[in-house]
Amino acid sequence: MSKQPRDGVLVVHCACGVVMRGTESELVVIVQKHALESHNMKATREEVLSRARPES
Amino acid sequence: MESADRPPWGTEGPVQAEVFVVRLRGDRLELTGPCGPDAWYIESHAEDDPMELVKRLSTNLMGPPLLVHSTSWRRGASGVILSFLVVVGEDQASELASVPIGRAELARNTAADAATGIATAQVVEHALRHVAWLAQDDEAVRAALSPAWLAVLANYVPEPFRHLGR
Repeated sequence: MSKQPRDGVLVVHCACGVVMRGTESELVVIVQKHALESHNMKATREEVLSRARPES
Repeated sequence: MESADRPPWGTEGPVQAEVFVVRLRGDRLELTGPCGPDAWYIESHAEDDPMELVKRLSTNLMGPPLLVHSTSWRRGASGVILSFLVVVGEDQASELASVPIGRAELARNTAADAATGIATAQVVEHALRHVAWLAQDDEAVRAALSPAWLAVLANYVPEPFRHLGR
């Protein structure tokens, strides 16, 4: 979850202000955990990746 | 490029809980929570009891709340929004960002119509007035709150009725 741009690092912004970063496999786990624990959202891998954007 | 092409990902669905987490710091009420002072949104699915859900997630993220109060509902963009007030202790989840709570006029309309626009501050004002009434009427609520909390809530009781309380 470094703030420095890294190759292959994707970013998802949650409406609550949390910004999640990681490689594809890392990000899916991070976002699914946050979504369920904080918002009771059951996010699929596809949903997470559809919201992910490369870190600029 | 991170977010310029689409809005942040948020909760969806026909029923969502909107949670306002409040703590007393000194003699001032503060809004705080997992989303800082912003409202915290939780999806409530068909199998969920919204009250239990709010209590469980609050406990998991901030520790056991002192009070969970279902205060109001309104129609939202994609369904019904259930508003909750969650009271946490002064030293609970103190790392979370917070802002002082100011007073607001309530959102009103005719006697048979919902208000057409309801601001966040008005939902919080309504919630605190409701809890202020419960603090006088409900022993469980009164017992859950400290004397300092009850003193602050006394300011939320309509003036003509203040003498009726304890």
